Amino acid sequence: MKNLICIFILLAFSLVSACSAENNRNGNLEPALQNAFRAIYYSTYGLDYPGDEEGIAHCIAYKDEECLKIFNRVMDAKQFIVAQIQADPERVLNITLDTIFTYAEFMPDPKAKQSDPDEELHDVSTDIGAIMALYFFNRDEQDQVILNRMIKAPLKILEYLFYHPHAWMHNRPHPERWVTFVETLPENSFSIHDKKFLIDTLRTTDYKKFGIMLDRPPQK
Amino acid sequence: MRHFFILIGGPSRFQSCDKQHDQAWSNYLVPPQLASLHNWYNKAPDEKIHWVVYMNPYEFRWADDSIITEAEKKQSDGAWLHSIRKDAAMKVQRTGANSFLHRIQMIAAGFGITFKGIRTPQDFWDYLASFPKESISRVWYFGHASKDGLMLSLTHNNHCGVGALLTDMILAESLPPHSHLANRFDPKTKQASRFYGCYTNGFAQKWHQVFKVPTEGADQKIDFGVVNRPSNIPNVLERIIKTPTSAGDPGWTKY
Repeated sequence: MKNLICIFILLAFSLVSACSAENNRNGNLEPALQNAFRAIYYSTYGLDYPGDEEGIAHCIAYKDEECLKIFNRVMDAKQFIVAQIQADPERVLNITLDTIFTYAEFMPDPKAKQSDPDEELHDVSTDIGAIMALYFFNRDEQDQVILNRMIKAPLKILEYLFYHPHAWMHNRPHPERWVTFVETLPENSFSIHDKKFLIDTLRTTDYKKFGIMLDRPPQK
Repeated sequence: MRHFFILIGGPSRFQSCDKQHDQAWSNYLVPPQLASLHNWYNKAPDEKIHWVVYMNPYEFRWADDSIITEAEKKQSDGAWLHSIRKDAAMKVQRTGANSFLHRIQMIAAGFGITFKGIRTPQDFWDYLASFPKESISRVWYFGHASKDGLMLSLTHNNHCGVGALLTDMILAESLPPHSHLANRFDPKTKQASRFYGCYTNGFAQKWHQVFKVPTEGADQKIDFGVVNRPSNIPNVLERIIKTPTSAGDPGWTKY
């Protein structure tokens, strides 16, 4: 009888532990992903991030600490995001899109004088990092979910989505559906020159790997 | 009359965790200042020089450096850098200037250079667009840069990671949408547009492709700190592009 009670207590404890671990995992996923978004922001806007494969090779050859530090941080974040997408793609895509929409509210107006850049960095790197992370969602159904959200998005979000043609634009499974969308963007925000450039970018398949496309194990 | 624009980026705010960047506020001002003093840029008689200065970082830096508190002396890394910042701010005040930006304006006026303050990268493009066709002889840049573009200002995150806000960058990818400004450049110019910043090679190449003018940039890192170090190269512009850094030769490249 004593043994049965012990087994029952152990089972109950395991169940409670498993539930709280699951809750903890879900509860922590959003902030953990947002941390990773802030890190991959540096794949474009980091001072010493290597721009291409030759750049990484140069960093390694010269043991360039600044370059290796930022590269490793971005690669760690990339590996984390990819692992989470493999585990639960729908949930991670929703968190990514929600982050883009939520943090866009705090984004500075690119045409106005900025306030304190150190204070703005947190929100900017979270939002832009999440936009960059769209690169990892290139399955047809994921692409359609992204486009459906963007079709209804406020102008401010679209301005940041297309502000810098990040790698995600080169990784669309059906670029023409995005081309159709770009053609409908308001001309007072996106000039003919801007639209032509965005469309060319979406249709370009011949490019050198850059930003988060670069992929090597962290050099530690 | 042709116009020669020198775009001057700004320093980051001082961060004690970052010993590599912008310990001096004037890193990107001194080279063009010396170039003006010695005419190291071989100014043509018909060229008018404009200093296009990204004002925001100089304002933030002045706000930090000109009001030095006692508490700052207690920074974990000691007080030595504190005294450098304090001395720099006091030196500026001794010249009669009331801020870093005011000092830059005074220097520009002393050389007969037109000072143009800008707040956003778009202001830079708007300024170029305001000049007549075929009137721009060249554009130079002094400041931070990455392989993606010119970083007009620098900032730090909680991990002391160094980067730029996207709103502080002129990206190489943003050049093609400005190709309609190619007609502002003198098509016969022989004077190169030069981009003094780390990894500006790709930017220089893209500028050359878009605006059809000769350009130059660095394939690897350059170090503005060489301006203050002994060298057998008296011309600091030449010194910057020829002195190897810890990451090797700057690889100055012409297009």
